[in-house]
This record gives sequence, C-alpha cells and structure tokens, in this order.
Amino acid sequence: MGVTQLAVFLENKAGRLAEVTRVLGNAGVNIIGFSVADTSEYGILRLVVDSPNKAYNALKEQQFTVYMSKVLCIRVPNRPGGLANALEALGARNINVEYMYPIGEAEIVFGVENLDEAVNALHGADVTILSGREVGSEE
Amino acid sequence: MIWDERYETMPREQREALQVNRLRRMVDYIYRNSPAYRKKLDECGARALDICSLDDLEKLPFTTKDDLRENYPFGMFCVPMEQVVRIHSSSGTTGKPTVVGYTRDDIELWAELMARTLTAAGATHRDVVHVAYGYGLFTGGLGAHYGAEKIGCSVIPISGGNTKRQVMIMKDFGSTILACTPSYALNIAEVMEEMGVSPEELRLKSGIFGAEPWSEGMRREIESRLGLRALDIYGLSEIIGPGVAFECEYQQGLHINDDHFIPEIIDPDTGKRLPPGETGELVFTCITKQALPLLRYRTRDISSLTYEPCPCGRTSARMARVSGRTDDMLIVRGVNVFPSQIESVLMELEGTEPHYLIVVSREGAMDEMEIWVEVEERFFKDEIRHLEALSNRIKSEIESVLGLSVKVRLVEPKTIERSEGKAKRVKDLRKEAK
Repeated sequence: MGVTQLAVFLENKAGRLAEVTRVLGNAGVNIIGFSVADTSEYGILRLVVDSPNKAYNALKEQQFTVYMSKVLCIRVPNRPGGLANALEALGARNINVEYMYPIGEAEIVFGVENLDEAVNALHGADVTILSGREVGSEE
Repeated sequence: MIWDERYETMPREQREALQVNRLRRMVDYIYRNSPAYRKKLDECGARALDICSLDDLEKLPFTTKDDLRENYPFGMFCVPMEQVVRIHSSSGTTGKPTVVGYTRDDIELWAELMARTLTAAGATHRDVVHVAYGYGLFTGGLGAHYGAEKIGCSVIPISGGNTKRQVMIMKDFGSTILACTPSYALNIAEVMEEMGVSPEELRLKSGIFGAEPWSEGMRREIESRLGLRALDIYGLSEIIGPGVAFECEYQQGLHINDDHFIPEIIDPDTGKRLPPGETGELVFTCITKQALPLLRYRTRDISSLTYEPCPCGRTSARMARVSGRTDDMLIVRGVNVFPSQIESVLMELEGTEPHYLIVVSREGAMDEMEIWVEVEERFFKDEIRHLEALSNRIKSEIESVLGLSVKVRLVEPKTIERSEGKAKRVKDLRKEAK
C-alpha cells in the first residue's frame, strides 16, 4: 500500500537541486510532486516520481544519498474541512504525521510512522487513498 | 605471569649494560652488512667503538620511512635473500609500501616476544587463542599466531571477517583469548548482541588489541561488552610487527621489549632527545635483529616513556598509550587534537562512515573547529530529526573526548576529497591564511 517516495540528502549549496532534477531528467524520470525540508546547512528533498527504481539508480550512480520508502498518499475532497477530517482520523489513532506535502491539485503525501495503520485509520474519513498507479507512479 | 623471568625482570643497571653491548655489536654489524647504512654512518662519523653508553645513541643517524621507500623493496636488508625466510609489508596507502624481512632467528625472536605479550595477558598452554588479526602481508595475524604456538596454546587462525562465524567459533571452540584490532573487537561485540549471544556464554578472559590507536573509553566498552580484560599491544612492521611493547595486568603503560629495541622519545621538530615523562615522537633502535635491524627508526607515533618499576615485576621501560601521529597533530585553542581521536569517535558511532574532514579556522582570536562528516545511506532517512540526532550525537561525543567545543557539519557523500586512497583528514585554514 502507499506510494514510493525518494528522499535525497542535499547540502544547502547553490545548484544542488538543479543537479538532482537534471539527473532525473536525463534518466527520463518525470517528477510528479516534491517538497524540500531544510535546516541552515542541509535539506532533504522528497520526491514522488513516475519510475522510482529508475530514479533511485540514476541518483545512486551520481553518488547521492537516497532513501526509498513507502508513504501515504490521499486525495482530499475539495471542500472546507476536507483536510481536517483526514488529520483528525489520524490524530484519533495517535498516528503522528512527520511531514506532508501536496502533489498535484489536492493530493497530499504524508510521511507517517505506520503506513498500514494510517490507511486503516483513514477508511471512512471521506478521503480517497491513492495507489502509486493512481497518481501516475509505478508501484 | 611472566614468560621470560631472566630478561623481563633483569635489574635496570644490568639491562642497560646489555643494551649498550648489543647496540655496539649491532652498529658494527650494520656497518659491515648494509651499504645504505654504511653511507649514513660515514656521513655522521659514527663508529661502533664510540658506543660506550646509551647516551651515545644520539651519535647515530635517524632512519625514516623514506629511507625504506628509497631502498624499496630489499635495499636496507643486512642479509642476502637466501637467509630471508619471511617477507611482510605495509599496505602502502601513502605511497610505496615498506617491505620488511625476517631471518629464521628473527622469526624465532618474534615468536618469543609475542609469547611474552600473550603471557602478560594470562595465556598458558591451556588457553585457546582466537587470532582475528588479518593473516597475510600484515604482521598482526602471523605474529600473534607464532607467539601463541610458542606458548603451546591452541591457536584458532581465523583471521578477520565473517563476524557471525567468529562468534560461533568462539562459543563452540571455547576461545579464551582474543587477538584483533580494538575496532574489530567492538564489531564482534555488536554482532554478538545482534545474535543474542551474551559474554557469559563465551569463555573469553582477555584480549590483546593493537595496530590502531584507541582510547580508555573504548577499552571500558570492549571489556564490558565482551566480558574480558582488554590489553593494549604495540608494534610496527619496520621494527618487528606486534611484540614491540605490551601491557601487563596492571594496565599502566606498555612494557617495551627493550632488551631488543631501545626506545627514545624525541622532539619531532628538532630531533633532540626528551627526558622520561615528556611527550614526543617514539624512536626505536633494533639491537638483536638480523635481516632488517633499523637504527633510531622514527615511528611518528606520539608517546612518552617511564623507567619506574612496575608492580608486575618487569623492569623494562614502559611507554604511554600512543595518542596519535606526529604528522597530523593539531593544536586548537591550546589543546592537542589528533584526527585519530575523532576517527575513533566516528567509528564507534553506529552508522558513521569514517569519511570526515577536520576544518580549523580562526575567527578573531578564537580557533574554530568544524568536523565534516559524510552522510551515508545506512543512517539516512526521510526525516530531518534523524539527521539532527546524528549530528548532535557526533558533536557531544567528540566534545567529551576532546574537551573542546566543535561544530559538526553533515555533508554529501564524496564531498571530502580522496587522495591516493587515503583521505586528507585536516584542513587548517589558519595556515592557509598566513
């Protein structure tokens, strides 16, 4: 279950983000969504792409530090309270959201402690849980 | 326990007379048998007959690693190759390897000195000695092996690697004495824990650990995690390999086999000899070897000497645990810092690939030290807090070892320059600014 995400360790240096995107572009990998979490010295680029394995190998070849994991991806109804419902469902089960970011229009990626548990928690929360295929990414 | 009562407990005065005698004979032997040394000795006008006391050592020229490299591979040997029965070599990571040779008598001497080392660690013919030092061109494995056989121990020549199997064999064969590098001892301890094997299930009583600098902190850790007494041993292939010096059960410095190798401490900058207790570069003169006896060999290791008697009864000179190398000592805010100290912290921390760079700079009147550490996949996750926890842990461990505040900076893999296989560890911007 879930969507494959790549996390890439990056120093805060000019041009590094561009390099990652160039490596992916050259490998023919399409980026579906991303976010950057950063501190003053380094950051983590999180990516959802169409072919995670291809992207992983291309980045490894260029000696980037990459972490591949499964994250939760949901489609939230486009109305007031839509996101709140989802977050409350997770909160009610004490599932801590480490980070979240939108990919596409209202599709939001969540990094959670326990993916399967989070999926269960969201059943009945009036959100659509998406597979990799549904966001246009390989499983 | 003492292997060789006669020589190991010989009164100091008698010991020194023996040293002077052997040294005089050695200078004569080297002069006759080594063209390279004959030239060196002629240049400084030193003759065997001038050697009347240990102070006369100062008349002799130093030997350095460069001498060995210039005479690569066998140019410094004092015997023809038909008398050489064994060759060992350094790894050569900083250039050409240094090559050393042994005659049959040298091998016998080496076994004898390693028998002293192991006996000081409590070994008898009833012990099972687990030799996890590498076998091969490296002197560690075979050195420990011959010494243990000499005593009559049951030797397990397992060499390094395949740690799970090491643990299984230690358990099944009842190994009582472990011989390996201190970092490998910690590695074994970790694997044991993963396998759920407790020290009580093993029969280990002591370990002889050397071939790399380590700390008291590491000693305590090894002792508690493996349930043994961890002893420091010292040696270098140029002198003989392991067996140059060893700790006894009192763990108060390493007893030097000074009836075979005369130690000195010198100021690495001036070459002047320093009195007992002072810290400087360790220098050894071989006085009994045949194939490759070196005069005043500069080890580049930092230590100090004491001639005080040890409660164990041995009368040999003792050296302090090697605290680093002369080539890479740094002074930061008045504190001596060795990259090896930082390296051992990083090696002890799980998940830190020891690729690091120490960057020292000066801001105003203050020295600043920053440790760059490459982030490796094993401990990288998708969350910032993992990285923050890692850098905080590195920072606090390094600060507690050095007693200095440092900054830790996590960098991408391969950011730190690799040169000729061995990474450059220090970037001193204070020097570059001058």
